[in-house]
Amino acid sequence: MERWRYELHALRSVSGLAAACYFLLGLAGAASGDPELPRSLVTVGELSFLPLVPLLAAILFSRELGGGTELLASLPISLEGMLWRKTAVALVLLIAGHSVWMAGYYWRNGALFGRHFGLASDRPVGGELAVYEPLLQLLPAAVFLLAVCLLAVTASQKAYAALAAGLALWMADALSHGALLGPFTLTNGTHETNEDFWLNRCLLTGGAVLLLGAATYWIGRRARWVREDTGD
Amino acid sequence: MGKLLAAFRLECRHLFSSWLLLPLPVLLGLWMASSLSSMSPAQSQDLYLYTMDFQRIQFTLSLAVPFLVGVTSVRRDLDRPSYEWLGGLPVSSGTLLTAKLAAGMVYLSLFPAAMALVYGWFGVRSGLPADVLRGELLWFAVQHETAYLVTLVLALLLAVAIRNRVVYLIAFCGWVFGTFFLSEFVVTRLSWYALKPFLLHQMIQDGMPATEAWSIKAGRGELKRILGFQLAAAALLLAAAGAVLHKRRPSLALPAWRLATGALALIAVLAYWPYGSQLHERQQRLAVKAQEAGLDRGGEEAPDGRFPVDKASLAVRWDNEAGAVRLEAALTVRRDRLPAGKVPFTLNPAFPVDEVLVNGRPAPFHRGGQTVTIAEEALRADGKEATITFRYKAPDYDWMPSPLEEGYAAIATKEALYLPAASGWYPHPGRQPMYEGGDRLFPVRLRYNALTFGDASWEVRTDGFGTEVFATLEEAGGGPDKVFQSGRADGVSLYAGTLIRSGKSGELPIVTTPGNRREAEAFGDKLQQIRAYYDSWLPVREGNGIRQIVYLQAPSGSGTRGSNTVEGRSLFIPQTKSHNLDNFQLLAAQKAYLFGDADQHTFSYSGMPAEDFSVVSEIRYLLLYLYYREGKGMSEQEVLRDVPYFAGALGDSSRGEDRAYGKEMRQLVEKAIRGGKLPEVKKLLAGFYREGLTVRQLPDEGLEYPRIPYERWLEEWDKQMGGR
Repeated sequence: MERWRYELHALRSVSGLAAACYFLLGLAGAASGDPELPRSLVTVGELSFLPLVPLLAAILFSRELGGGTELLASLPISLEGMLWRKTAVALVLLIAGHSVWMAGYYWRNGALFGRHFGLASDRPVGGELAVYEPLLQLLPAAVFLLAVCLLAVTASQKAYAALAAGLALWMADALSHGALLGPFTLTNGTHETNEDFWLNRCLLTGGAVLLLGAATYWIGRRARWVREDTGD
Repeated sequence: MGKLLAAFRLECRHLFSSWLLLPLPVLLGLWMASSLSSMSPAQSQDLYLYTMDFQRIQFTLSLAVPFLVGVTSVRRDLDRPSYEWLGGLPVSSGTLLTAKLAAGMVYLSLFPAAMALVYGWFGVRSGLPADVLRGELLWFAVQHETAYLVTLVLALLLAVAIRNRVVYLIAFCGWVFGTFFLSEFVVTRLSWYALKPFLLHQMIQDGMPATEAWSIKAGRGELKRILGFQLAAAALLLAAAGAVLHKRRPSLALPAWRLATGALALIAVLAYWPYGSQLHERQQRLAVKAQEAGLDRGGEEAPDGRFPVDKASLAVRWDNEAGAVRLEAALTVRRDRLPAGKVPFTLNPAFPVDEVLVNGRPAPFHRGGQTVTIAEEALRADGKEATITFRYKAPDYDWMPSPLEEGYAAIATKEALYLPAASGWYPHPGRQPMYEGGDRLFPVRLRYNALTFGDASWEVRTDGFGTEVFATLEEAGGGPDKVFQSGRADGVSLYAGTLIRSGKSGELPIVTTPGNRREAEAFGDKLQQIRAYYDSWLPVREGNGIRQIVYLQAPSGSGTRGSNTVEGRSLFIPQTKSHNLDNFQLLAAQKAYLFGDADQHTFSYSGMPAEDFSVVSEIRYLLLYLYYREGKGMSEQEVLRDVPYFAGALGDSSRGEDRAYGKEMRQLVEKAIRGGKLPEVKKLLAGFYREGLTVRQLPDEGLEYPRIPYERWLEEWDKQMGGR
């Protein structure tokens, strides 16, 4: 239990405050606007939510990688366990945060409007969504992005690598309207891509598992963490 | 100087010994090469279009590097407690900061160099003219360097001012905010164009920067204004960073740095002025249009007071002293056809009218938004005809932003002209509502197909422009000051900018951008074969077919995007990334060459009233069909299968209940070909062609076309072929 509480401590920092500001800003965006002309959830709930993932990944690692990493290497805890704990904490926070945004949106507009992907067809249909749908549609992309960020952190040993990698991926996808990442596009719901939605979500989930596996392997090699103090 | 050099060398060693940073420029160059080499048929092969996509996405991503370089270079020593001894070193903070900036820029310049190498290679390969290539390389390089400089300085300031680790988060958020978020949401969607100079680079914006024809020649003025502000802002940020550093260590130079910061802040505000005043002017003009659109919502939508004009002559002249394009439009009308009361004309409200003359005498007029009304008395002189001359001025940019991108309805500078007929750049007879929108849901925009002029004979003279001017009419005089003429046309558009005319002499000229050169040449060759085939047995030259093709990506906001249109003697093919000059366009050009229209209608379906019924569309397709059968030697099945539209026009009817006239007529022709009667078929079709097969769009949304009943076709067939 103590270890879980320790992970949450990282949120009480200046960076955590910045992330909280973004979260509140997004909430205000979701819970405002004209109920007559509700904004689509693909912008409010997907596109603008995803940047929270790299922010969270960077913050969760900022204490461990804040000073010398030798200390981290000598901690008598399982590094793999730490990574998975952080992943779990991030996921719980993301799900909770997204639910709060959706609640705000629901409170304002009385229903959830976005794009709906049926099991039978891969063509999205605009309209009203069931309560569980926005989260289910978003989660594979969020987990994939989280896995990319965590791998970037463990491979480069810099907390800010999560920001660079995660935001770059998100921005590349948004700027190219999904064309650059092809079947791995994060915001399939946002853009008119020709990718099959279910294939896309399966690829993202599978990719996330592979990347997390790689990150687990990297973080477990303790010898890598014993090195000179670079200050970051 | 020695200290600065030593510090610079040290910084360089840090940057150029990093295994992470060093390969990045090469990787970006490779990425660019791979995305430019993905150009292939089925999609456009316009080099510029692909390059701009790269600038918009990958170059934007590369701006993370100056943020990283800037922040880490400061945090490595200046921000580090164990480097406190730096404060006692007899090297000023300004020197250290300058060394970091200079070394950072040396490293970051590798990125533009890599991109320039790749673009140069592809440019040479796709046959860009040397001066165009040079201009574009310079255009990109200036923007790249400024973007990296501004970003690096911003990162230095952030790292100096914020010693907490949160600076990484802030810097990377600044990267996303200063590019994607600001561009996509704030500037474009909220239409806060006042913040456009705060974008880390301008190429992220869609709209005009993406059009090769106008991005440089028309966009240069605005870019100069924005870069001026950005450089001033960069100087301000640098001075602020210096002031912060000097405050941290005891320094006598602090007041000087503070003074410099204050002075530069003032300069930055002043440097915003050129852009700000231009924007203010544009917004005022836009407000007039929104008002016009609002009037139309009030129930005055229907155009009124339209009357025929016999002759229109326009003079378009670059006035060096005024620094603007001056226009003179002389419309000749018959008095008895003028409406009673005041006579209204419609002219784009961004074009201010100086004076109106009737038969050479000044006449009182009233300008209200898009309408210019001339008092009845002025026109009540004797004589059957009246020539009404408008002397007016063009704005440099007629600005029309949309929620998707910044657009222009018209551009008129010395080097660039974009005057499409739809923008209303010359007076149209009568009151014709041009604009719509302008409310909470939609911003003001040009109404589609709103303006009609009616047929008139045209003459357009251009004078004093720095680049070659192209028009949709036929060229009557060459040389620098061109004259365009047309016996009968319903409008004219002018284009000038980074444009080329493709096609050898004798071929149909294709006016397009240099990036499309190879594609246009291949298209021209195919079209030439088609022309040679028809010219051998059809009187095409006397017909009203097109004399020129314009293949361009128009700036948005012009109301011309979307589908092919024939204007005057030109076929305008709008360019997008998703298609190229493919077989669809070849058929469109073939049709426009023979008939002078871009029409797709059929008039032979069962719901058609008997007096409107016509097999003209089928006869047109049979004429096109013969080229593929005889000229290219394809079989009946191949044509129906491989050439677009034929299966629908001459195959089974797509609507179940309709009779497939096209199929029956094709079967007749096929039977005749098998019987060796092809020359007779050609003679029959040529007969119909001589009568005219053009389908014309009328001002009141109707269509004008020859009524050819099926019975008449059979009659003529029997007469020519002697039975079925």
